[in-house]
Amino acid sequence: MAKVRVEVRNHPLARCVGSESPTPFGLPFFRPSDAARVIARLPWYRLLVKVVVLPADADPLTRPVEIPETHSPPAILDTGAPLTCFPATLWRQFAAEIRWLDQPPREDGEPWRMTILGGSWTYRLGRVRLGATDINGRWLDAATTVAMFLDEPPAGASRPPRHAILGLRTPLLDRRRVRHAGTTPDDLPVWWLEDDIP
Amino acid sequence: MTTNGTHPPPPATDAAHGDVFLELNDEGKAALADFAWVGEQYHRGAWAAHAGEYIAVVRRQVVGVGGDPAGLRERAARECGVPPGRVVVSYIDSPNDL
Repeated sequence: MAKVRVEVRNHPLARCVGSESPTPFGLPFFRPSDAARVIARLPWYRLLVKVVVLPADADPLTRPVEIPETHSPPAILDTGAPLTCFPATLWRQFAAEIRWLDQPPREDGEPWRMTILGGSWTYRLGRVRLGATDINGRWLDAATTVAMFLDEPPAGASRPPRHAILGLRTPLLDRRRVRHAGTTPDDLPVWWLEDDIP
Repeated sequence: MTTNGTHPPPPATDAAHGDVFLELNDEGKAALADFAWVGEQYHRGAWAAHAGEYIAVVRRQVVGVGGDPAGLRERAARECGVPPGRVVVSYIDSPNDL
């Protein structure tokens, strides 16, 4: 059963391990019974999958022998997002591997836009071949994914997400599962993206 | 990108768990090691001063900090004499990001 380790970011413990500084991450709140009003934090940690963009014409079972960082952006695993998207700062580095898809014009004549994380950005639709790896070089075989490739926003507009977003409908998740597998000795959570084999 | 062609050899696996491991070349291993180091240091709070920015790392050294990841990568590659794909550029989450 192939699997890759999913990196956890923004966990409240992250800034505490090996550090005396208090963590700034997590949604702050007060427990109802706490008269001392000690700030508790609800984790909003992110799960990052290190995706690898392969050549569009690569054999389905191709495995890379090197992983250029330009082609291996961490992507937030977001099962609340239907589609995968890449900000321009990331996809421009592997633009040669994208097969662009035309879309019919919208009825109102406006460009197609996606709305996420409180912002709205124009995009082009395309396909890329994505595999996944982790810090130990584990590998999950690649799948072709339709994704939204965000345009660079005009000056003064809100900034798009810094990371790529791996949406629920990516075939990279087909017949695979995300599993929380306890914690490390430092109490950091361990997550896997793995084949779902009975 | 270099791949192992259209007829990949049987993958290296961890027999106990069925994990598939890439057979990376030296450059690939070095880049992955830097990527792992960035994560380790993140969990030690080492990048707190750079929250909301990108850092560029080569051979376990921060070689640049800034807001433009592509420009940062190009500069770091030029200054370190490595290909752009060898530079690990990582966004450091800010407490203001959700």
